[in-house]
Amino acid sequence: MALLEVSNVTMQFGGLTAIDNLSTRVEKGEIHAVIGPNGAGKTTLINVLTGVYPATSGSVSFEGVRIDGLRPYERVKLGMARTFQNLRVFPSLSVRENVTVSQFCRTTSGVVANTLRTRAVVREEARVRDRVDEALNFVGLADKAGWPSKSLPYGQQRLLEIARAMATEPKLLLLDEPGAGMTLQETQGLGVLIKRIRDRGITVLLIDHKMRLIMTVSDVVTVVNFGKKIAEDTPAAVQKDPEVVRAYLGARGLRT
Amino acid sequence: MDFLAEQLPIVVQQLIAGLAYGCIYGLVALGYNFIWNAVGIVNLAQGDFVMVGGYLYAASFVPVVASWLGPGSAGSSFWTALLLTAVGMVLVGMVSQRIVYYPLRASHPRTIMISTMALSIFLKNFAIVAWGTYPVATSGLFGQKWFRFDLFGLGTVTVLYQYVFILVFTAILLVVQSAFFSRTRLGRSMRAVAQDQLAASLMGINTPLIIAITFAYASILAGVAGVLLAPIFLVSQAMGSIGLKAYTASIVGGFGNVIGALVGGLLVGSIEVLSASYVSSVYKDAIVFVVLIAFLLLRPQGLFGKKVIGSL
Repeated sequence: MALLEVSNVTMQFGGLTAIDNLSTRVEKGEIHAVIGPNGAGKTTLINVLTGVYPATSGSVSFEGVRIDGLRPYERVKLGMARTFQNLRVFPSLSVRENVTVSQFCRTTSGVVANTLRTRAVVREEARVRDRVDEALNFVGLADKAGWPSKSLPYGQQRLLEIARAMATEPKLLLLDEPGAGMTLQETQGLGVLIKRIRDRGITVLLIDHKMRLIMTVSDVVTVVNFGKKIAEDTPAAVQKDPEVVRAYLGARGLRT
Repeated sequence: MDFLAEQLPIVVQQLIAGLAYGCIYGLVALGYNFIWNAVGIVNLAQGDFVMVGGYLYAASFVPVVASWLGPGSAGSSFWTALLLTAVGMVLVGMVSQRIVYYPLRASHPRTIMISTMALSIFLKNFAIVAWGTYPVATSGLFGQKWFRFDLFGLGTVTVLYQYVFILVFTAILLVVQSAFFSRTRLGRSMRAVAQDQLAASLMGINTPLIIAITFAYASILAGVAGVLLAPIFLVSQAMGSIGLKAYTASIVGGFGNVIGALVGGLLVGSIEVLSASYVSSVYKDAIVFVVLIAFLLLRPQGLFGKKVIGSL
């Protein structure tokens, strides 16, 4: 059973078909990349998968369970987390608070217990703090924990988004152009980080434009163009696929 | 100099009253701001929540609680009635948002604001049906007791105990509120939803619930304002007009800004009281609204707000 199964999903906005009868499977433990030219429907796909838009038709299953009708926060509870192409950290919360609010979906104590500060609540708070510390350490932002998140430089805000998504304890992490706006060095660090995420047993669905990043980290690459899947294979095979080369990489082949 | 020295105790007296009204406006303005930050609409029924809070307290809970507790229980019946009013306001806030906001949440903000206007009209008329057309008087904790103190030998300042109580109560409430927003899980989640609703939802926060709680909290604040005002004013449908003063406070402070709401409230309260005593009590409302119009024309982002481009 695939972790995520997308079956014949179509997403229309008025007359525009952003995703056209797309099917794919994301297997557990792999880094699965989705690439395509600008406007190919990649971000729309993430929005459909995470429940921001309801698909016009088709179905999405997560661990074998249909999730099409679920709200975004319910999908997070099942184990899907994401980052955003256009940064969406909570600007006036501190770095630590950004990660902390994302941990709350894994807490169980209710209002009454919290008001009374029972022993279970105190234990749970300690657990939240540990998880938050761990997530911040994981992306290397532990020393910036007290900073207002809007004061972080751009590349670090991207890392904060990853830490925040990790704090929801996902099984599947959807990264929407995590490398956008990063320098070459930062991008290399990002590649290492994505592999470390996978090594923790978290499946990664990665969208990006940076070919070198995609080709070095991915196990499987799905190529979309005008909302349709035109190829799906290993990075090496995809690079040689004539249709991919024509549609996406340009007639002269791969440029990095 | 003699004239100034003579006037000073009177000015201080007026200012204490002004700041007390200002606290009330600030509490109501905070309600506007929390709802504005969470869902981007102005809840035009916020002032009527003050009235409902006042009625729940003065006309419903105080008589009932006083009869439970028997005579000579003014203190405990005040606090019990206050607590019951807060619980009642949670229900009012939750139910109203479910009917007035939730079904329209995907619509244009203007549509939702019209819907809150309908709620405002409904509440005013509901109050007539439920509590009648006669204003209700209540004594609160202190009744008409006066608080006197000497001002550096210049004269005696005399103010209602209730004014002092309003100042102290509001200050404590704000300290508790600030701890709530910075320390508790619910408070932080509310801030996250206010800053980016979609991102919050995608980080696993149950946004519809948090929005409902935000409405409930805004209506508690309005209800508390109603309880604090009830002993000074009579409780009547006219209490809803507090909403307009609080709206002015929000504009003056900068819509959506928490500190702005309070500073705006204190300013509006002081301007109102001082213009009543030094210009004309007939025109005090007019003067407040001139301030509102002046801010809308000259500094629409308010004292603490950021410039916003675009309009509803």
